[in-house]
Amino acid sequence: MAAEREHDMIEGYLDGTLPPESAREIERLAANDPELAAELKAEETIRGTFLRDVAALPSTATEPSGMLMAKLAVTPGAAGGAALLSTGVSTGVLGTIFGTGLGLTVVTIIGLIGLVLGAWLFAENAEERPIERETPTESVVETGASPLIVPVLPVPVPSDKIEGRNLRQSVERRPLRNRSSAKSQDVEENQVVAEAPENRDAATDAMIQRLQQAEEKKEPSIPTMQGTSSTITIEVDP
Amino acid sequence: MIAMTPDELAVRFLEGDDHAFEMIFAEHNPRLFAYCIKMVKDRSVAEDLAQETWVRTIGLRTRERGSVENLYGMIYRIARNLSLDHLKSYRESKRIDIDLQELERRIGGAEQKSPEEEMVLRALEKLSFDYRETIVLHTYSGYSYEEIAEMLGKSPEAIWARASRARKKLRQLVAEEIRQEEGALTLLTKGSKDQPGRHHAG
Repeated sequence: MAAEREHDMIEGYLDGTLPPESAREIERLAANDPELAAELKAEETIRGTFLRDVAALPSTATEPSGMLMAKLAVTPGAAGGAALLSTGVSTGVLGTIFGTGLGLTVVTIIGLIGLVLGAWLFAENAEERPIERETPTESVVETGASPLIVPVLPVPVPSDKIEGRNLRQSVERRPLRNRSSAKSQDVEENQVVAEAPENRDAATDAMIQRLQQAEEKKEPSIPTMQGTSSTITIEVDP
Repeated sequence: MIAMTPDELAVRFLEGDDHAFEMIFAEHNPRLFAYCIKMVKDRSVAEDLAQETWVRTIGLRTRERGSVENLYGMIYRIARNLSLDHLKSYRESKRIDIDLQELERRIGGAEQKSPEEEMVLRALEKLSFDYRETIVLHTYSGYSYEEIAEMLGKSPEAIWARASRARKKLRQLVAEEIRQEEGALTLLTKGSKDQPGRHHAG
């Protein structure tokens, strides 16, 4: 503590910050104490030397050298990188959360729209759709004035399969009188054979008759599928 | 450019802001160089040490965030360790360095100083490393005692006490030299007064 107090006193004296009484006291002590006087003189010498020495210091760069800038360029700062990584992760997490939420919202909205549309379409369809029956139905092959009624299952028949093989199969199911000759002929011949009055059996005639009665009573029927290449018309009667 | 505090600059530098580094460099490189040159007493060595200090400072960027709490203290400690390493190797080749310094003086490379200045600088070199360092950091590098305390991780009071003791020691050394010089002058004067005939005779 003595050194600090003494230092403060000498510094204050040389700086001129000591109170006048204290400054006079130091001068009085120095006059009687050669050691103190020497220290005061030494301090003055040190101050002057330091001032000149600091001023004489060689100047140095105040801007980083190219080497340092290159070093900076390859050292982007892991702390900064960590911060960026942290930001990225948090952004990613937030993005995932909000993104998922947004995605779910969009999907939910689309789903709701789909449900509403589906319900509306179902209602619309229900009004127009005929009653489906699981029981076997009869197909009517009209080849002119007298259609041939063939019992078939209510399987939807693509339009491109109306002509030809399916029709032939339907016709072949019929217990035709001249079955052997019908088998050897093509569809048109079959149609011709089928529509011939002499080739009909009693059951067929009965079915034709029943159909005609039904038409007269205007019974509802399912939609008609029509062929395009000829006059063949298939009507599926419930 | 918005003025930033030293702490803000340090954080920005560590986070990868090169401009912050340039600002820190402009502020502290002259101080660092002054410190190095006063500690190792060689300009080219001081420049190399300062450069190496900055290279290692840039390397601090790779550390984890928060691991560098006192950037300026760390810069100073890097310079201090480099200076100590150099002085250690300097002692091993002291003869050669002294010869080179003498040669430099002879060819006029070194700046001419007054006897009083040389006396003070000699006394400064006689101080212990800690004392000399405190005086150099305050006087030549221009750091306040508070800044030195922060750099060294000590209280300002402790640094102030160390600086006072260092200055007192330096003062005593210089005063001793002054007394010896005055004594020699007195003796010389007294001797010349006591033996006037010899001068006349010579």
